Amino acid sequence: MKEIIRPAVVLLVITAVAAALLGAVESITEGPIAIANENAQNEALRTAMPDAASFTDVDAELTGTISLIKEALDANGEPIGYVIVANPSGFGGAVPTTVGFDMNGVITGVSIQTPSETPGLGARATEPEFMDQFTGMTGTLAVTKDGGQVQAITAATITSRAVVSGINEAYTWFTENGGAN
Amino acid sequence: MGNPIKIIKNGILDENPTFRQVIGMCPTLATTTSAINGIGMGLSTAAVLICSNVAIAALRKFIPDKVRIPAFVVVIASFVTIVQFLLQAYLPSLNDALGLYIPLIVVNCIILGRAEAFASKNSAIDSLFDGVGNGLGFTIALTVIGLVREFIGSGTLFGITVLPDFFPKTLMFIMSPGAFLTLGVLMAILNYVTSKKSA
Amino acid sequence: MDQLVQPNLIMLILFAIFVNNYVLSQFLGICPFLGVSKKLETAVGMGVAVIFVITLSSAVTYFVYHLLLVNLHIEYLYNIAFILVIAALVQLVEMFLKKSSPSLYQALGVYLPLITTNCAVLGVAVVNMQNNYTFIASVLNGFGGATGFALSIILFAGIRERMAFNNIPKPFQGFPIALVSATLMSLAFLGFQGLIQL
Repeated sequence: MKEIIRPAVVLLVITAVAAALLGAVESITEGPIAIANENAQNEALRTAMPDAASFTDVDAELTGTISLIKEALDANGEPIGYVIVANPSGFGGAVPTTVGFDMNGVITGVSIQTPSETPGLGARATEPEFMDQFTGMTGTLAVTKDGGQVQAITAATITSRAVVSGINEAYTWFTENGGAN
Repeated sequence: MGNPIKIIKNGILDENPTFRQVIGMCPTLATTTSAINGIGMGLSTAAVLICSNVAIAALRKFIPDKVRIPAFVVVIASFVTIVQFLLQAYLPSLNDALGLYIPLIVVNCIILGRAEAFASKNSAIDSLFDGVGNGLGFTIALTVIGLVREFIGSGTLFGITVLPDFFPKTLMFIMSPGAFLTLGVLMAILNYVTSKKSA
Repeated sequence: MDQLVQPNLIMLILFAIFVNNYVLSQFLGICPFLGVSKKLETAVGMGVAVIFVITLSSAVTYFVYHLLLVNLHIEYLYNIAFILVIAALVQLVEMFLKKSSPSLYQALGVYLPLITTNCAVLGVAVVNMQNNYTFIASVLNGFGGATGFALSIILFAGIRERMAFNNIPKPFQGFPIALVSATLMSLAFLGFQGLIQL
């Protein structure tokens, strides 16, 4: 009997200590993690809508892969457009695409995160060369291979198409909801 | 107590986890698409390895033989989770790049292997050096593989463009086949060099 | 985030087997892939054992995460919980097989302890959790991923058996030539990329 109890107790003690330790570390790093996530989000919002002074939440139902919708305000608090985050499927997983529209539905900027795309291929979607081309475009987009106006990244058509589909999804939401204002 | 320098050198050269022991292959192949990712993965793994080696060596007389594997695994998993928290909080971009492979450090055979083969039989201080040696050996291997793949695949080193734009880049090297090929060829080169030396 | 995701199930299985092949494109389970692939027979044994364990562990870790960890608000303990559950599960399967089906135990027994450190098992559990898959999607993703593993290790063993008769340059003998063969297989599987999108 003793041979069973001692190992079990030791294992239990180790697990309990480990869990307590992790709980402590979790509560310490919780704040910095939240700040890091918020910083990343704010940076994406600012890239998508450089003219905005602040962003407010929009009371709207999130549809499809859209995970966040914010209304952009200028320094006087007047709405100047919308920033929408869509999460289309890329090569290795979701490609969070943050896109800003002014009140006329013209793109003010795009910010792309590529956590699971291949470095040197799909991950190049984060380079200005690709991201900046969207600024000023409007309407439903497509890559040149599909007869559209968007220059796809070399050898990463899937990621490029994903980004374009995310932007189109955001544009559809904009025309159905935001554009009516 | 063993000779610290000898223990460290042993981990880096004679028993290099990647090239000699051929363990911990999953992160070696998956995260070496660039040199910086290789270093990040290597150092994260080294941190877990050093901590778990010391903790396990310190607890070795207290842990009954029957439950040693689950006990080791709990210790390792705790340190992995701590590293993951720290990365999320202070290096979010590296955490995003390494993604799934951070939680998977738990099942990296290097860590459980060193716990079983070294830390459970040696003092905490010796185990610390063993962790440093093997951790560095792993980091160096990952960095070298990352450098080769990044250079041939994207024409950059540590993200800085080295090859001119007109130079053709072999994209395959940063995709999955390139991982297998780079490791295989590097290993063959190392075999060749050592066989020349001993001959 | 809280909503469970259920993609098209047939696509999910095909995607896990071919496009997202755990060994050749995700690099999970490389150790057994290189270590237990010298003979076709052992590769088949390992493949079957992995399918069995991963499918089962996908189901069990789903309940552990959604019923236990989420309700207790200790999601951050998932790594410890998953690895312990997997280790215990493997042990249970081993004991169960030993008692109930000695012939199956004889065929698979030696591979079972090795599976605990097969990162594909933990990998599938973490992927299911991160993607917030439903129960059915989790189990099928596990099954598909494991089938992909079995497919690649069996194909790979076939290649290595033939290779044993070849005259390989000395520095390439052993692991290097195995890795080079894996390169070609991985290149072939790259052809499936983009065929299916989830």
